[in-house]
Amino acid sequence: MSKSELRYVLSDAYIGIKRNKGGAIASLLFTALSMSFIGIFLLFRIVVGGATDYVSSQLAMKVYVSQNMSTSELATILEEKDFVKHVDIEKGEDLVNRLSFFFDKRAYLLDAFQNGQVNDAIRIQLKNSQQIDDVAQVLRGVHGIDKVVYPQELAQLLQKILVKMTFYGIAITAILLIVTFFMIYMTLHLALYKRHQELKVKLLVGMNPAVLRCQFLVEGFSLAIGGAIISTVVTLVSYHFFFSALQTFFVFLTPITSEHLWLCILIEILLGISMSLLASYLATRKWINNA
Amino acid sequence: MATFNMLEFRNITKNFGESVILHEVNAIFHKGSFHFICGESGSGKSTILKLINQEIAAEKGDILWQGQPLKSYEKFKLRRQIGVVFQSFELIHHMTVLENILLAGRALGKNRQALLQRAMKLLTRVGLNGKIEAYPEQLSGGQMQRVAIVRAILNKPLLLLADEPTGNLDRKAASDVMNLLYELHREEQMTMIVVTHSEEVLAQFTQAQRWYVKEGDFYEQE
Repeated sequence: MSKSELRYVLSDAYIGIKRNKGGAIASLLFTALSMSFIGIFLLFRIVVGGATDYVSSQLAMKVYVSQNMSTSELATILEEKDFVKHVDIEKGEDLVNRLSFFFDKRAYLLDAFQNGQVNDAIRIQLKNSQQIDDVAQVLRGVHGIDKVVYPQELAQLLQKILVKMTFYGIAITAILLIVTFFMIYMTLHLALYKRHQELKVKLLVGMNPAVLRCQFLVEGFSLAIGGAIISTVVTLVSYHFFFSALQTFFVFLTPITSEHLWLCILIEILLGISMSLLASYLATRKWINNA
Repeated sequence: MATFNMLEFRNITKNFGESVILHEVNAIFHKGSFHFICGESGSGKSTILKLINQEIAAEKGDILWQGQPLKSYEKFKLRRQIGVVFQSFELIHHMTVLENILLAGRALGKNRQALLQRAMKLLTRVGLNGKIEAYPEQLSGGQMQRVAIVRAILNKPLLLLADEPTGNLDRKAASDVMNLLYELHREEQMTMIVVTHSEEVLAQFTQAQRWYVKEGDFYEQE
């Protein structure tokens, strides 16, 4: 394509969008909506993915060690057991420090937990999580273990919710992308129908069909870019006002790094642009091939 | 003087369903010549033009353009050498006269300034330089056809095809348009093929070559 052909394509695409303002705006807004949803869903997925990991770690059981027992010795004994995958020691002081966040500005409430009042705990990950009930029963009878805790049901419920959320999120994304595709397809299809006489003349005077198609690809691409700008702003705003606040309150959630954020934005933009280019290409096929 | 075959039909057969429109027709159109194609309604006159412009393809035979098979040309590149004028004018209603004309050149990526110069020269030639900002609905039939002719020859095609260019015009406008076409053919050295069923038009140009289409045959009047 020569420079002047390119200039013509761009100016004609601009005129085309102007002439079909209503359809273009509707397509642009819907594209923005789809892309925003994708971006926010991806951010949610990152954040709760971390929560899932945290919850999964809670599927491990915790045994609280008596004050008069050596935590490290007990941990060593437990680690040697063939049903144990991994053990971690949580010191009482560390737990108190983590709790201090929840008692922000009310540190005096923690006084009761100071000076070793909180027992050390050993977190045990089993090789086979199905054995958790049996193992818990055995460990409860072991000398030196005060308490065995495993929030099994709650953790499994949260897991199920997260899996469902992911499934429905993907399903809604797919539906939105399909609807976006059809909105852009119909917008361009209508535009081509209205301009079929113009297309006919252009092809009869010898316009390269590929160049003519380019004009409509540019129109579709422009709608996607417009949608991308809006969705980028929405994603950034939601990150700043919602996700950041969420992570402040729930420290176990995965922090969203700037790489995560921009990767999500890039994915949503690429998906939106791909849909719009595909829709534009398919919309032009009939008109340009048969004109 | 040696004549150059601009266009040649060799044993062309064209059917529409079971109807044989053209049966093994042969014809030669020389460079710079002016031809009428005549015949009754539905005889296949417009089919000849559509075959030349590659809107449709023949079942059998070859059409040669400047000695090369038409099929060997990319459609859009061939069409840049052929201008077309229609009975229905085919002007774009939301574009002005000037925009309609420039469309033919701008769609091919040509420089706007150069196109503008040629467009204004041609519009002056056809007496419409005062109507550049007018829209088609503001023009008479004859004026619209003149705009269509200017658009068709803007890119200096080697061949102009006119399909019943006077079909929607009154007698005076029809005569003016046909005179214009004939004069442009001579000024621009353009080969022209005009489809018509108007006896009045044929009577106006007895010097032009005439071809007839009838029951699948295509022959030149002796």
